[in-house]
Amino acid sequence: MKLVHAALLSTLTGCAWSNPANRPVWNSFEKHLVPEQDTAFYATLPLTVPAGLVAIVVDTVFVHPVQVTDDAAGDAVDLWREIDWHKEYYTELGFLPLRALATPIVFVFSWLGRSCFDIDPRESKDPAVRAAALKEVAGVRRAECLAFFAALEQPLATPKPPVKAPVEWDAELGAAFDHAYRNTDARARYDLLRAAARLKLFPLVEEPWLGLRDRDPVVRYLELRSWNGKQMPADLRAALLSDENEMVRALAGEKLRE
Amino acid sequence: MNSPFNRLIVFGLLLVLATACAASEHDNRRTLNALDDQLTPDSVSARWIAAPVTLPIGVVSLAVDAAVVHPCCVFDDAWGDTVEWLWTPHGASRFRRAVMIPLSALATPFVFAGDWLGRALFDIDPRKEDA
Repeated sequence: MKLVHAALLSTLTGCAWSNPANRPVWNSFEKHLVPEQDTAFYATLPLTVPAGLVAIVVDTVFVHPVQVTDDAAGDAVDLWREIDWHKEYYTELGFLPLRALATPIVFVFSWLGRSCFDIDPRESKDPAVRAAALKEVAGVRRAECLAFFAALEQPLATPKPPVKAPVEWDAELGAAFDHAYRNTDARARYDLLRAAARLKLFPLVEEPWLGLRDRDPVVRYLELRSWNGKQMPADLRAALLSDENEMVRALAGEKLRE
Repeated sequence: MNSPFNRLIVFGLLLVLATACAASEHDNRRTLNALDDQLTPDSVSARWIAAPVTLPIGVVSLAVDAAVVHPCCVFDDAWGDTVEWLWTPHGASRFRRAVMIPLSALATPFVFAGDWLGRALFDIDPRKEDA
């Protein structure tokens, strides 16, 4: 029975652990102590795998719960904000015992919820702290996006796309996107196009028909299948209607004829 | 934990928290609003000095609002809902209305009680005709 409880608890807390921001020990361990070179990587696996498991447990059971204590306290303190003694004197007095009763309950449930699940941290009231937090989020998302573009260029790679789009699109991201699109095989290009469409990345916002101009007919066909009937340049429409590939031509005839 | 007294305490706490849900809306606290408007001391020091007396008054008023005044005020809304759901034809045929009469009569106390309880405990908007 204890095993079942432990398994359930670890499953719940695994939800919080899925967010990189909630696993500082793992991040630090992976960044500094796991060798990158292949031989060293495989040679140290007997040591790094158990250490990684310990890092997961430490993050889940100690570090992340400690990290969220101040957020849970903030949630509980919210019960005591905006008390208007001047206009609602009796009302505030009437609610005083309920507030006192609810404060530890809110704290405990908020702390448990934040420890187990991936709940966004509270926004600080301090503008400087809030700006720093936003900057950190922007940096993480940008790095994830760049890593995804770079990983696509590895032969036979199927990297997991980022969950969220970068906060701002800049020249370096644009160059990395172009480079990945030019230097990858058809399957990776299709993965890139799908991820870019889902995340509404700038190149696909600027040119939604990018995939319809792809050099590979399978990519063109798949992109055309999911084309939502938006306007497209006349030359592209004409090119698809007279595409060299019979399947693309037939599908274009079906979807693009007025 | 299983003694009747403890169960009563848990039930009472749950009831208080549930009624606090309805009382969290300004318009559902008629007694407290009247006290706030009429009897709030002007100065900060007077409010502090009066607190030993006004605190129990506030707590009792909240309990009265939640347990008596607000539940009484939603009787008409609960009845309006019951009449609308069970006794308003909504274009039904004469025969269907005739068949439904005993069923509606049977359901009326349950629908009314359920609706009244929901409106008494939670912050549900009043019916438009009564707003």
